[in-house]
Amino acid sequence: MMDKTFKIIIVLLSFLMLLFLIVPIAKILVGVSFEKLILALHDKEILSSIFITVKMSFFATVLVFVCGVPLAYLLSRYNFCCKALVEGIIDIPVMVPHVAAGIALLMSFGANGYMGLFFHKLGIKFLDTQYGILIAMMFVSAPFLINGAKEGFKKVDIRLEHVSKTLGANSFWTFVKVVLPNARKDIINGMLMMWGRGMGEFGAVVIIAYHPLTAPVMIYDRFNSFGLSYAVPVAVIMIIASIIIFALIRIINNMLK
Amino acid sequence: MSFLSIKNLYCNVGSFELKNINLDMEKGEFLSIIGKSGSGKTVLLESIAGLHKIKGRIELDGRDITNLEPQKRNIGIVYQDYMLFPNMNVRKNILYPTQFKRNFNKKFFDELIGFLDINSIMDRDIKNLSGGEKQKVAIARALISEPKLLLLDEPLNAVDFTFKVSFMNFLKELHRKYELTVLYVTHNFKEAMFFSNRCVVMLNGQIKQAGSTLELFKKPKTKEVAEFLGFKNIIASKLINVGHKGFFSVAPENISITKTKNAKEFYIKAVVNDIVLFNGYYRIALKTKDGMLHAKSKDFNFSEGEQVFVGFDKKDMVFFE
Repeated sequence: MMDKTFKIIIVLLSFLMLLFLIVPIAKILVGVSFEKLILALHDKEILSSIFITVKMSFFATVLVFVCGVPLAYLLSRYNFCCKALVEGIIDIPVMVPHVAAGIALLMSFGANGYMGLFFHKLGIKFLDTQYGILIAMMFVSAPFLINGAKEGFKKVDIRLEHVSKTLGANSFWTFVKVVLPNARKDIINGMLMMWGRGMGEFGAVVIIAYHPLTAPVMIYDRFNSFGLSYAVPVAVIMIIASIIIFALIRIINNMLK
Repeated sequence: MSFLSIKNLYCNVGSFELKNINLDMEKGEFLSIIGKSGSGKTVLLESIAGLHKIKGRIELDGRDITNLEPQKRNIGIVYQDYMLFPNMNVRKNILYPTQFKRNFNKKFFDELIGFLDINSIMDRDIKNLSGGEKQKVAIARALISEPKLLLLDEPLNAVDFTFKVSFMNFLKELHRKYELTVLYVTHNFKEAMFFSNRCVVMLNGQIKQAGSTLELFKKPKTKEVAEFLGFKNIIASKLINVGHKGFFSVAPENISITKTKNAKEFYIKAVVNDIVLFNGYYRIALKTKDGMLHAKSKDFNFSEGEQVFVGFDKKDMVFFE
């Protein structure tokens, strides 16, 4: 009897949680007329902002993949002094308000910041450019990829690496042929989480690069300037685009297993 | 000169330490290392394979390999839980070393696959193999580049009990056929006796005794090794003035229990503590002033709490330090 009651409670609470997640998304999806949606799809500004959002978040994910995956591997395999501190630093962007993160980025990558001055010499500016969007997305969403990859590497038994080395592979080839493929699922999940989180980023992006408009900034901009009815179609297109992209990647990832 | 020579090897892995390991092996030998779980057997194998930083010196086939990277040593290792690469099928696992310019002899490959009887599973996924098949694939992968030394880390642990005996025969045949030099780690005495003429006992990160398997199981050198090998009734020699400093052991079946001293050479006073009838034998626990003794007898006429004399002869005593 107790078991049955317990199961009912678990199902009920799970249902409430799912309802909370589904209702707002469903409401926004059905809250826009088909005509307005078609009209929005022909709006070059909207399409451009969605394209910039998807593109810059993708590049941010690729850049973090290049440096963050090695960092994740380092953290999963080695013990060193200040390891806990490093892990704490990686989690900072998740904890701080993203507007504060944007201000921090502005101070270091802005015209007067050290990084800003360095990149300025290379002809790269961050204030109100796509580069600004890129670093804002990288900063706030990198933990999702790094932590995901770290968990993936932890699941790969170190003895697989040992065996690979005794069979003639050096550390690099062991990493490429054994470690990465066996941590792939978690790394790809981490990349998807980072990509998705980057696309949704508003707080940090709006501080360092209001323009060119990313989709979240455009939704805010239209909501502020013209009201809800102008913001909703952009939001709907963004949600549909995200769902299609992530569903496709997950399907491909599952097919590759 | 030995084929494998390990001199004064020290190795720290986390809080565990291998201390002053000295070991020699001849070419073609099947040497077993026995020890409890956590005694450092696997760490020793991994150190020989070059997977841990060590102090000391390791020579293989006349070459100093102490500082050589693992991929350049040509030493194969097989773990008890196979460690097959999950992202590759059987064929790719076995052929993995060929990507790295290791020796590849197609004739040997075909022969080995035939001998291991794994032809039919070459294109299967790892997850669809039985324990025995996985172990065969792991062995094939380790042997494909014809390593100078094969390290086997408790390879029979994860194999089904019903399959174990045939796998033991198979391993012995494999060793004989390919004249392999094998360093075999186990905590199972029967396996060590089955495979090896020579054995090493490893406890707490140190080699405690090395020598012929028969001698080892008959005459352990120290109390620690005797306890590990399951010797019963370990008694301090000073207790009976036997002219030996250290300890001795008497098998439970060689102990006689009498009310008074009679024909035995040595006696210890004891009180019957517990009597259990099991498989047609009485198993008797006896309390002495220095601890418990155990005896095994077909007849027993005393009751619990009774004072008795425990007697034994010198010929039944095994002495050690």
